[in-house]
Amino acid sequence: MWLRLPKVTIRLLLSVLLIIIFLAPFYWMLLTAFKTLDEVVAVPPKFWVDKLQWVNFKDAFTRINFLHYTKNSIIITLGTLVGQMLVVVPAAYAFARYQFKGKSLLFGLVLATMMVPGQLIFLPVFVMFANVGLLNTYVSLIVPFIASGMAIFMLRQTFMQVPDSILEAARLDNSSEWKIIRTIMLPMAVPTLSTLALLTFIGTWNSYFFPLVWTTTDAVRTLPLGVKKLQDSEGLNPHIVMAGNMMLILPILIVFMFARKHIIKAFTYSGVK
Amino acid sequence: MSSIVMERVEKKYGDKSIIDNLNLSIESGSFTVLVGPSGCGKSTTLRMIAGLENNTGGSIIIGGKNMNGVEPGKRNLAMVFQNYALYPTMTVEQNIEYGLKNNKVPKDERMQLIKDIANTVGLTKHLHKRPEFLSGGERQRLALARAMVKKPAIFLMDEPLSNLDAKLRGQMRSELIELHQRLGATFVYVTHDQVEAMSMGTKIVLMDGGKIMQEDTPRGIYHDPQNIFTSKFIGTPAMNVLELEQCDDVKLQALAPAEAKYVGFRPEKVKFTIEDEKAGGRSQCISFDGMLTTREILGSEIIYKAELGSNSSIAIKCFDSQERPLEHVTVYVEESSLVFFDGNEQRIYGAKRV
Repeated sequence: MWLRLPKVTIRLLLSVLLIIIFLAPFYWMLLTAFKTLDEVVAVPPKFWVDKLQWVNFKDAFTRINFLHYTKNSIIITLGTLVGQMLVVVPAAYAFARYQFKGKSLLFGLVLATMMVPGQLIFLPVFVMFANVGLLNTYVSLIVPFIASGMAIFMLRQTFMQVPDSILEAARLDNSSEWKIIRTIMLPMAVPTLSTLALLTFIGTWNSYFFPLVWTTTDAVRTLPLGVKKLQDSEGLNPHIVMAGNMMLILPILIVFMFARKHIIKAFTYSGVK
Repeated sequence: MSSIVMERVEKKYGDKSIIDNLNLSIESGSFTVLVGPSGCGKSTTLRMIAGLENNTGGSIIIGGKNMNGVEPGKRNLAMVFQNYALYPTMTVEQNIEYGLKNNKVPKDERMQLIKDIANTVGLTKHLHKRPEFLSGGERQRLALARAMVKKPAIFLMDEPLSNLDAKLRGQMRSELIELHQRLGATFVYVTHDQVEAMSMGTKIVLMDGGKIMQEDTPRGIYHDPQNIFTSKFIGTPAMNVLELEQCDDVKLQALAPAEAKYVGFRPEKVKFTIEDEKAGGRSQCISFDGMLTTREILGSEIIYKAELGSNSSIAIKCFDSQERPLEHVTVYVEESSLVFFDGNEQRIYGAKRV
């Protein structure tokens, strides 16, 4: 009889399994962040803590210049977000709604950028920044990321879904092109825009590779590099690194909670009713 | 002044000509219906009047002013779209207000106008809802309100009733007729539904293949078709059109003008019996022998299909309440009800018409 479990039960079990697989590392990080070093290295491992070690967070905060890295992360993330909107919105709009010469070639190029791995271009870009004296500046960590092929593609699809008749109605209502973009297109694209913004936010905030290889000093390095530095600081201290990681991901969790509604909408958007 | 005159208007997409040399004048204050099968160019014509499509040749003159190259928003017209094209992210109030705002109407006046119009179309309770929360009829009213609030001289409507169910459509039809009478504006209405065209229009423009087949009053277009296309498009069932060669009635052959190739008559003109008391009686009628094959009982009338010899069939609309058995019959058509067409499917006038 055990083979004849109802479908619902199987689905429930699978869901629980998936949740455990996804949540386990987070739980371990959270747990470790509140352990003492003895508890961290204890064998067999402890799956609970008796006393929360808030001091780990204080240690993580003081051992590196936490505020400095946070400030860099905020500047670079916000800069990328704003820059991306300025570049991506007009580009996507043009690709979606205008006919011009070389459009499909240009759009093909934009898509092709998605297929080039960053590891392939980091060196030439590094050399280029070095040549123009932009090493260790915010610009070098913002500008390469504001023209995102992925974002242009997604937003273009969204703009293309807007029925022509709505734009025509707006033109008949004596609305200028800019006003149509501002008052009709963008509000209709809010679900997509917030998804893109969240993805960019997570990507930039968590980015480790580029801030590492495109900088030579700590001047503009970001929080993930700071946390990495915790690891290198003094001996064995995973509990402090995990406390640093908790602080690193906190903004992402907060933003996600606020944007969740829009993101779900972006993937279930059903056009005009 | 809101007449519309189209002179030698052309529309091409690349090499493909959609409309070629269209001449049309729409009188100020008329309710003109552009009707025709899909792809006939009626919507393109409407969109050129609106300025949403540029005419590639000729000129469009609205209220005496040449509108070539004038932005749609500056033509003093409003349009109601088939799918309503409401702004989904705005509330009912904002939808109505959008055009007024763009036209720089002061805020106090805007609010008053919105209040009045919402009252007129019965949306006062819904002003703060977004379109997705409105029913089909309410969306339709909102689309109308958004057009009306601008007080345009011309209303363009592109199949605005086709998304409504049959009952609501009938109701909106009479509301539109009333609206037209009340506003006194010029209405240009596109539809593929000849019933809609006949019931609403003061003038009907029947199009096919980018050309105007006939421009007439509903009465004229029904009773006086200029060509076979018109005779078949307007009227349900369509006019019976037979090739003269295949008709063996001697009297019919004698009646037909020399160049005539086809004869036509409306289904309701076909009689099963001749009313003898009418002057002339049998001598003024032609007859057909045929076999009744189908019968549709529609309530006030019954529609029969009769197979004549020679592979042709005719429809008969009969207002008797008793249904007939499907059997062999002789049917009669008065001579005065006949129309003749030549080899180019054009009407021949001056045939012996009483």
